[in-house]
Amino acid sequence: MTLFDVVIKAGIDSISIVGMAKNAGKTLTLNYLIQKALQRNILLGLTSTGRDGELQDIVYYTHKPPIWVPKSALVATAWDCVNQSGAKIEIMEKTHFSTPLGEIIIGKVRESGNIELVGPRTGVQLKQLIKHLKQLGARLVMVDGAVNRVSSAAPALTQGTILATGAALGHSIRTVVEKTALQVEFFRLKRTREDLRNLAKPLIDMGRTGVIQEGKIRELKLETALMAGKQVAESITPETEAVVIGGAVSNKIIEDLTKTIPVEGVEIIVKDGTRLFLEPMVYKRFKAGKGSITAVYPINLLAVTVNPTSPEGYSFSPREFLSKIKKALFPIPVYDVVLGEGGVDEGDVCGIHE
Amino acid sequence: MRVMSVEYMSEKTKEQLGLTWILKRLTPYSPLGRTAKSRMKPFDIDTAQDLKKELNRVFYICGKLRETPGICQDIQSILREVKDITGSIKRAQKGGVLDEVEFFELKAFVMYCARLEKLIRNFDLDIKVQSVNKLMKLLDPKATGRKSFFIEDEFSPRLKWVRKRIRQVKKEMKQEEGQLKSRVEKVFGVNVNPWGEININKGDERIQQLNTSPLVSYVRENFAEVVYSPKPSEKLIELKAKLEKLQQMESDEEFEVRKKLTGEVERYSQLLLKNAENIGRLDLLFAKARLAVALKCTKPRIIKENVISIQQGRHPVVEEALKEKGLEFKPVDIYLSKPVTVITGANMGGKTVTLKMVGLLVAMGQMGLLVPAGEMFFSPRDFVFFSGSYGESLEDGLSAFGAEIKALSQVLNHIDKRGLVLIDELARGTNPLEGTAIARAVVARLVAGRCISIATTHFYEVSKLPGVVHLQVRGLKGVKAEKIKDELENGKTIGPELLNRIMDYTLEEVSADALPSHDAIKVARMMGFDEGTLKNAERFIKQEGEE
Repeated sequence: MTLFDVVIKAGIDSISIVGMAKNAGKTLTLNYLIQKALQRNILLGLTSTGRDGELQDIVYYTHKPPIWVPKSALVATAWDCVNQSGAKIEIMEKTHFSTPLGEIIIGKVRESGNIELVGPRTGVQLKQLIKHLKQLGARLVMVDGAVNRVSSAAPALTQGTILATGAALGHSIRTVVEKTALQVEFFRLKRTREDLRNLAKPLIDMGRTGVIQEGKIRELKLETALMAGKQVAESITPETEAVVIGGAVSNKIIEDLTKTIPVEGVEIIVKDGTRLFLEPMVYKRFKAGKGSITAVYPINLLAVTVNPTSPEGYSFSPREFLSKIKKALFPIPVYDVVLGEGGVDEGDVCGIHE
Repeated sequence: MRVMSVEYMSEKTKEQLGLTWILKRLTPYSPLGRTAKSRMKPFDIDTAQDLKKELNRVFYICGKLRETPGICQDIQSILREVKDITGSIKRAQKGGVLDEVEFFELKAFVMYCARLEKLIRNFDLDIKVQSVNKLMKLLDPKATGRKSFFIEDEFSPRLKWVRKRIRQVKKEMKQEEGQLKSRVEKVFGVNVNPWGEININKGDERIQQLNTSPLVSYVRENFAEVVYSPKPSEKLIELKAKLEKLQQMESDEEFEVRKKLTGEVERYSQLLLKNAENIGRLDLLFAKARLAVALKCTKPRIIKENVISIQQGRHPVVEEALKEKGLEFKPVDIYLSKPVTVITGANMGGKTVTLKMVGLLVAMGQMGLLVPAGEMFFSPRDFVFFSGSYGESLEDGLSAFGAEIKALSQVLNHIDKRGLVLIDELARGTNPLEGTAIARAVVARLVAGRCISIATTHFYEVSKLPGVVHLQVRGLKGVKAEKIKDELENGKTIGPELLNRIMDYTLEEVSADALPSHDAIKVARMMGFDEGTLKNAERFIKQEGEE
């Protein structure tokens, strides 16, 4: 089964592709999927997640690698990108979602070519945009997302996610495999139990923090982010059912928690798996102490793609890398789209563990 | 001739009377409507005719909302969508060349104009929107009727030709690249990936061959691999150069098309701008009508005589606050034709609310809004002045008394104009002896002016001045002390709720020698004030009477 078969078999109409670092091969994966969709005559909708920090965007705006878009595909990107694109775009809609490169335009590709995808800044806007692209006829909406950005809402807002990883993440195969495995674990967080989820959702949606006790949720007014872990630890009693953290979960929070109290039976509820920014050791200690983490918005991780080449010039042996990471991520299918498309036997390289 | 101009109403007064609250609830849907709203001004005495027309329009739309809700829904859904394109039109007028997004918005605008024209065709309204069919045809050369925009081949034969050539050249390039690729694959037994690259292991013996071959060129390498790509042929290089040239031509021609289209937009700019203005006015009219329906308003009559008459008038801000508490606003009738009217009567008897209601309804009416009243007629005012107990004016470093005197001294300069002067608790902030004296003096000045003035006061002597109409709140006049006692002991409500139920807010004209109402202690009792203290107060009154 090829990577594209995995996507098709999943029966989904929106997918996000997120990279663990720059040059993790996200664009390669995206290009591969676009080619395959074209071959199968599937009308694509394409967009991206925006970037954080307005001023920084304007001052330090660095261009993303352009994506080749086929004729008839629908794209949602900033006006400047439409204007400078190598593809010819018919303007279908103008949204009021603003970006440093102008407002987001929804367009139809009239003549294929390269275009830079710059998406909206908020999750709410991304959700609306995905819906809009579907309404305009897209059968599969692909969102070019990023995981190394705090507010990447894409995985939780699309029906499926592909994670792109590669040599760019570290100098040894072991490091890359370890980091990727942890991210995959975060992406596979279980959905929060329904009763707790209903209690946690309002707070989670506002990015706030609180504790659930005896069937009730109580908000914690955090004084400083630095003290969050200690404050959360202090509010935990034997009756506490779960801790709700609406924002990012950092090493510091978890470390303070594991140091202050026994974490056995403590459930942390987060928005989704992209909110966790933890070192492998920190997470291991938390789990060893029998703490657990669940997500209000679970992510449907379909597959992982790997790029054995790093922009710094070094690269791993593609097959060794692939086989090691496959083993570590089982049962998640792993693909090297470069090799896969390079003509190497598909059963050998693109097969999935089942 | 009015020489000195005076501000119609200060920002502070707008806030105090509740006009700010009203204007916040006036919500046009489109940016054009919001522009029209920001330009809203009170009509003055000289433009009373225009004011009448505007009020008639709003009244007419109110009727349409009721009679033809479907058509009104359609109109309003267009108003929600329509964008402000005046910036693009002005850019076209100045000789700028519009971009595709601007044409997209213009096309949508022109389509909305055509739809609005049809929808309001049968309206008896002097605001028209005209379709711009010729421009529509230019912006939609394939007559698709869709609102999307693209510089189609149909815009220019040259564009069509260039694009055809580009497609041909691209096809030739693809063929040539395919040939180069398969030749390299055949010669070296390697694979060229979709990105046109060949990855070869450093240990591979073909490296030597590849390094010297004229068929491939070196791209990069790392410790494990060398990357090559098929070397472009002379033909491919030529084709690439050709493509670049053609693409430049395409881009130039697209610019020419946009330039030409911009010229057409410029040609219709007067009509487009007029449409934009009228859509803004229409949007504002609908917003006014929705507000009128929500607040159950009627159309005020504009008259020449220096009179303000309100029947069953309501103050919407107070009304809403009461409604939240489950209480009802008791509408008030008031007729003002003399220069000065003094209102006296019970505390909590609605004097201040009446004062503010008159100011608010006059201002609303004069801004072309329908008014929350059963019936109203009035003559437009040159200004509306309000002096109320807004506490000490800290920013000016003035006490309440100081602030009142400062404001009054300004308004007394304008009493030769047809203003509306509203003074709550005249000269309240000082001792009764001097307070009364100042109040009488101010009222005497106002009696001689052309303004319509209303003052509320507890200084009874003020109402006795010649030429002053004295209105009194009926208040608790008919309510027996026993009833209050009974209500307090057995009733379920206390405080404002109880007052709201048994207070008679009616204003009645009384003669100059009418007795002052003494309801303060009754009111305090109903508010649940400490009984011992009240008993004491009643004893003091009795003692004073005996002395």
